[in-house]
Amino acid sequence: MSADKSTDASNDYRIKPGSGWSGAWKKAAAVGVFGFALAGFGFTQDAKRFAFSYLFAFFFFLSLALGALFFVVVQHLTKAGWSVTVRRTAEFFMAGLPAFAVLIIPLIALMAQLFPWLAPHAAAGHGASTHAEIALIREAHAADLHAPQAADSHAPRKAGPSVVARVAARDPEAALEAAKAHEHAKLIEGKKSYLNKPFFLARNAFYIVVWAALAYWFFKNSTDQDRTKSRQATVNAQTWSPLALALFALTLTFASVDWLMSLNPTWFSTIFGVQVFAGSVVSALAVLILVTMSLRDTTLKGAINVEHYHDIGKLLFGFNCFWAYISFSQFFLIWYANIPEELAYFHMRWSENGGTWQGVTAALPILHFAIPFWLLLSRNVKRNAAGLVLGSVLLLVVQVLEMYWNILPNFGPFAPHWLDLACFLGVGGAYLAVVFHRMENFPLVPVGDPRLARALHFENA
Amino acid sequence: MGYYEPLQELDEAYLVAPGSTLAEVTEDIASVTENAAPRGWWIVFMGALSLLALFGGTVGYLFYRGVGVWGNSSPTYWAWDITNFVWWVGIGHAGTLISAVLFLFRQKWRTGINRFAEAMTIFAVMCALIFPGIHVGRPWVLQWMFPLPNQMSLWPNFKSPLLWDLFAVGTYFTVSAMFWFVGLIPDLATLRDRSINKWRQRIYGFLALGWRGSNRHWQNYERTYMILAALSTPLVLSVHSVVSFDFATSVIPGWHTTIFPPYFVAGAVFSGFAMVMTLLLVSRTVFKLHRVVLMRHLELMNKIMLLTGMLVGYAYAMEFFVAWYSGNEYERYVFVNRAFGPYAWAYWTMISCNVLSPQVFWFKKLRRNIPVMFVVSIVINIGMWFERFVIIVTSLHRDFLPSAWGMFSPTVIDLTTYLGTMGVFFTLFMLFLRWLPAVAISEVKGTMPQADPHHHDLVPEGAE
Amino acid sequence: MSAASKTEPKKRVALVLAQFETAADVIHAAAKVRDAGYNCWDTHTPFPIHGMDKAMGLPDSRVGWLVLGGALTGLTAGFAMMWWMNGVDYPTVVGGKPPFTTPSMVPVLFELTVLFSSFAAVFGMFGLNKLPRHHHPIFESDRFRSATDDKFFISIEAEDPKFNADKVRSLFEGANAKHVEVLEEEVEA
Repeated sequence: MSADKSTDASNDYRIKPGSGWSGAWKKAAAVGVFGFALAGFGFTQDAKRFAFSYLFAFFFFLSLALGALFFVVVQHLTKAGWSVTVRRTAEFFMAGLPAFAVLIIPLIALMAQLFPWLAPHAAAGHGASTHAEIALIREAHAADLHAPQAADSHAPRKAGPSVVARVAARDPEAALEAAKAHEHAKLIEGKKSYLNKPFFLARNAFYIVVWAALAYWFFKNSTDQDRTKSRQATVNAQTWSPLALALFALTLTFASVDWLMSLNPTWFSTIFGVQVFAGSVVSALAVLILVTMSLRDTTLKGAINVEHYHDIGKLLFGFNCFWAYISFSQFFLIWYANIPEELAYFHMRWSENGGTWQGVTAALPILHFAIPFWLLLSRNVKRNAAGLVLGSVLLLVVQVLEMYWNILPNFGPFAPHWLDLACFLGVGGAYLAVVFHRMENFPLVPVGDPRLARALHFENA
Repeated sequence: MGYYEPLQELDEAYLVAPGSTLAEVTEDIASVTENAAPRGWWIVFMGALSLLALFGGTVGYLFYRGVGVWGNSSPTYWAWDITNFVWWVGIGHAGTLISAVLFLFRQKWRTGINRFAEAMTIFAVMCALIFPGIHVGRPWVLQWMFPLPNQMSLWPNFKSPLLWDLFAVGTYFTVSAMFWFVGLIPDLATLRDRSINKWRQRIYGFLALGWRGSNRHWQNYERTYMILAALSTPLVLSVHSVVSFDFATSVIPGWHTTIFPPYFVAGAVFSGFAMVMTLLLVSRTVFKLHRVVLMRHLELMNKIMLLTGMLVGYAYAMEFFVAWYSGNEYERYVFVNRAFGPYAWAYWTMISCNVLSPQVFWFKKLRRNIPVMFVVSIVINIGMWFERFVIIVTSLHRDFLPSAWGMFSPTVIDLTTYLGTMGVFFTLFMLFLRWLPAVAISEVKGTMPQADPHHHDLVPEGAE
Repeated sequence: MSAASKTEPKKRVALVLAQFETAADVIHAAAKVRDAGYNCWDTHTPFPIHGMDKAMGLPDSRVGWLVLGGALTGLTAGFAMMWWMNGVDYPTVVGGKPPFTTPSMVPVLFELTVLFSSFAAVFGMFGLNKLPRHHHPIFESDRFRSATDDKFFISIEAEDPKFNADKVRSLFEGANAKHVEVLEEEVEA
């Protein structure tokens, strides 16, 4: 092995002053401030819309940061040599995780706008949007509360037709709605021991602490190694990576149950956490490709070459196929079994909401799978900068779209709102300001990693 | 990728005993097929043959009397037959994982074990395929499973998960067999070139297809191998996903849940690794393959078992949580019944074997202890059999109405059918160990320092 | 065989075979043979050596294109089969699903795509490599037996327009070959 090539002293892998990346964090922060200002104005106009738009922006960037955390942990877990030069970029995106401890505050404040299970009459949250229906539900609910007393009376069988039946005689459609809503209310009531505010807050405190701690520790361990060149740091990262992975799986799963699944509290799917995970890794890999690509002729010159892109490209392709597999499994099993309470998820995104989400629902398999699959299948495309960038941009955009599609149908029909963009800029700007600030203060390659030489000389078999 | 000296401080290690020569690797592996079989081989082979005889007798009796000889009864119409089918298919999956997925991830340590694992896949899938064949009740119209019209011009129903199963497992068997054979070609040529008598030379020569190690061939060969690995990876996911669809497309609580496809895949890989471990430890001892099957390989496999055990544990936990979270009383009841009902013993066996037992692998000492890993690998296989039993029987035995409740108990024929397929498996496996190179010779050589032309000196300009 | 033993068969030079001791030697020699401008030549190694494709100046493998063809064939054939059988020839409604419906076709479509792709990969590789080929003049060499064990070889065939046995021999000897031999094959009458 020619050792002279690996100790290329001409490059310290730092962002050069005056390059497009220097001061990027200030630009991101400015965008963030602008976004928050707009969003703040929007909040005064429509608090509920703000809450949903903000959740969309928040969860997208959170999933991106978590995907980056996953990438870093897995490289340590597998003791990977090839990826050392790209690992630092992922570490920057991971290092933005503590920012979400602050970014989560508006969501906590506006929980009542998001979650039907927090509404005083949980029943009113789902499937009943008009005042008339809510009134009917209340009537039905009240009657139900008195029902036991009726049963205690001398002639229980002659207690008369139920409220629902009486309402049905007046307005059969409203009665059906009322019955459904009543059923939902009962279901939600049964979940109270999980879906309640104190436990929800406690869980989220736990997630935030875990994420911030993992991000802090892995980042510090790696950046300290730049100076110390300590092999022990690599050993430590390898030792703690299994536990980190377990914590990651636990927190990501339950955060998606809490923030996404419980938006429609009667719907449930066991694969949901895995589905969110697959998407988060796709976003992180796409971002990794785009960021390193924009730096490959300057800061990362000599550190990342076509062989690395080929490999990250393969991972992107693979994880996108995994996303498709998981998403298809979820859709397919729900479609095949055709059980109404499960079908609600796809109903909401197909026939309900005036059918406005149909276009997005139909576009997702094509944009998220069919097109990128054929594009990234080719070895030549993965080894070609333009092709890989195209695939990454496409996947990143559809990941945003998917998150939008996951959250906003719970608000109502498909109608993009300027608040969506404002929140996206606000949350994104704030998060990226933290990430870019880190990028400016540390080398973009873990120069102390003992496997660095392997990554520098890496060639695809 | 070039060869790198392992950084021992970072817990890296040699993949082939350091200082070994290429010729020693050839000798170690090829001589197994050339020398007389050791006594250990004969003992296992004779045991396997007895079980094979048991299998023949059992299946004959089954065909003569019909599937009533099994314990299947209302409402448990699916029981051991499908449990065994899923168990065997699952075992096969580690073979593909080791040969394909680890290949794609350039985990070079796979070379010590991939041949075993691939052979195991093929034999396990053969055992699995026996069950759909014998459980149909009328084996003489088996061709109705295939897309052929029957006497009423009726085609098979492509909306049936059982038909997908046929396509999935059939494709899996075919592709695995091709993958295995392609991997064997260079090693068969090695056996051909070492052969001392004419018959060996003719048979191995015929199978080696005239392989002459040509680099023009290696180029296409390596690309093919890579493509087969890339095809096998989604294939292995699809196979157990389709197997899980047999259950999950239904509306039976305990069967219909969206996590089933990846959960089945993780479980399959888990049990498969355990089976590879069991077989590997025995073969390594009997045939003295310590030079190529190192503690390193065993330790890494134990780590994968720990990981997949945790994944399976995640799925158990999610199923339980969501059953409660769904608020559906049938869903909730099935899980309460699993954990505390009449089959609670099976459920807790499953949890202890699959989730608790691999936890010992957190400790390096235990991870590197051969008796411990041998026991744990067997325990995991028992646990994974119970997992399928729990899923199948506990979901069926208490139907929606209590009037349709019942208990399942297996018959002796259930037991002998299961043991019989063990005979099929071990007979084939023992023959493989004796007559084919049990470790991929050319691939092991590829991971040695001698394989890297850059290792000794620099390559001239233009050769890079 | 019996005819050959009676009259001495006519023979001609088939190829020149050189033996090398290490992977580094053979890759250096291959680069020299490439630079000397030969076309009909090959290296023979017990395992694939990385960098050899470049050292030999080989173009990229074409197996991938065959596999793409196989994949599209499998996909189309599977779709046509299910559409014809369940959608046209004998439509049946099962499980409340329409006779012809796409989601439930996905598993079988996938399996057939993979099956046909794998056939294309394996048989395509055999085709490109012209295997099986059990008879080849190179097998006349006893030393060549170790090409599947621990030795490395380069052969230059007589078919090559630039072939000249003496020049080839000196090329090999100048490239650190341990042993060079000339192999013959029978000429058919």
